[in-house]
Amino acid sequence: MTCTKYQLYWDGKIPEKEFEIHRAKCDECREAYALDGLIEGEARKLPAPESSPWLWTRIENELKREQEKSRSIGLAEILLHIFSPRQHLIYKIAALLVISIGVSYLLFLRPTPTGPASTNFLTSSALSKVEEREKEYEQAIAELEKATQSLVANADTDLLLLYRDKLETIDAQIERCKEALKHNSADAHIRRYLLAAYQDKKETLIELIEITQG
Amino acid sequence: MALENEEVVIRRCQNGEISAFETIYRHYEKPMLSVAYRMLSNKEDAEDALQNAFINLYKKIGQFKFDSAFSTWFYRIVVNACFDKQRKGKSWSHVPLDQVAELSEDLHAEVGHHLQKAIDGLPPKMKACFVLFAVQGFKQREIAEILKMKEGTIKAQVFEAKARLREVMKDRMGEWRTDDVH
Repeated sequence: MTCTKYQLYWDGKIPEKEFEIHRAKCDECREAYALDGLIEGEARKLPAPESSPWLWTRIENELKREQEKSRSIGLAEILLHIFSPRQHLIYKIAALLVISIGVSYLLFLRPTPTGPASTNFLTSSALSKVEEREKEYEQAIAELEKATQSLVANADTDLLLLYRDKLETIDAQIERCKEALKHNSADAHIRRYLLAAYQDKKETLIELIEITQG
Repeated sequence: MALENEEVVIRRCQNGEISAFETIYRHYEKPMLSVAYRMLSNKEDAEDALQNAFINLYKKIGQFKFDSAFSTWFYRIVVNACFDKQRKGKSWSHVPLDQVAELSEDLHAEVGHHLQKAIDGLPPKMKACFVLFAVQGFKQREIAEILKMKEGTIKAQVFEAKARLREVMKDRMGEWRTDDVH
């Protein structure tokens, strides 16, 4: 761009009215100004992704971990203070006593839970239903994958590459869920996310078939 | 739009109540994810950045003194998390701008795709300025506050970003405009 008036206007060095008059005569500035308007309009319309349903759970878990970390650092600081050489012996003995009572309570006196399971965990009948549903999805996905295998492997257009990326993302989510379920297979949240990921994958594969079939 | 009962929610966060962080998440999830996605061009990275932003928010919320807008302060945390993610590697793929113009054939729906690719090709700080200005609709003064940069620098960065995007998009936008008129 050779004309500098647009930049001067943008920097606030010439008033809008003056730039308007100039624009009417200058092709370069008129074109740049009009294009910027279109680009900004398009930029505002760019679609934003929906967040994954398990994003908050991930964040929540991290925040809880941070909370635990800061609590244990706090406890360590208190213990260091109590047992520092400057503290009187009587305080140290009192602290030891309190700690031993706490530990004994945790080891021997704490009641064992007997009530109903937490609502965050599936009962065994619910778990078997969920597992059945997962199996159905896995079978359907295996069939659909057979039909789309070569399409995905030889993806050569932007659209197919986008689909391949999406499928890889879903696969990573499925893997993460499966990994998490190794620690607790009855976790209702993770089971729900796994089902959502399966459903997403199935729908994406169907979409892919529909698109390539015209 | 500001969060309802913002001060109360922030004070609960400062007391370590995770449910208050969830209130913030529910309120800001969409705009923050949109900024992160525009800056990182990848949903997974954007979600990772948002997660890191929340951990930083948790660590720093005690420092918030209510003397500035919470949203501006939080946007800064999110944008910095995106810069971190970019620094750590994989995200800023830098699509060379001259290649962007060759990417595809279609018109209307493709303009958005081209524009996103062209935005991806901008350097990180310039991209952040453009995204906050043009996509999120922030004023330059607000962007200066978010990015802790001078307003004049923001002005120059946005102008340069627009010039670069114009260069890449001019043929496409020309076609699109003509197509739109007929």
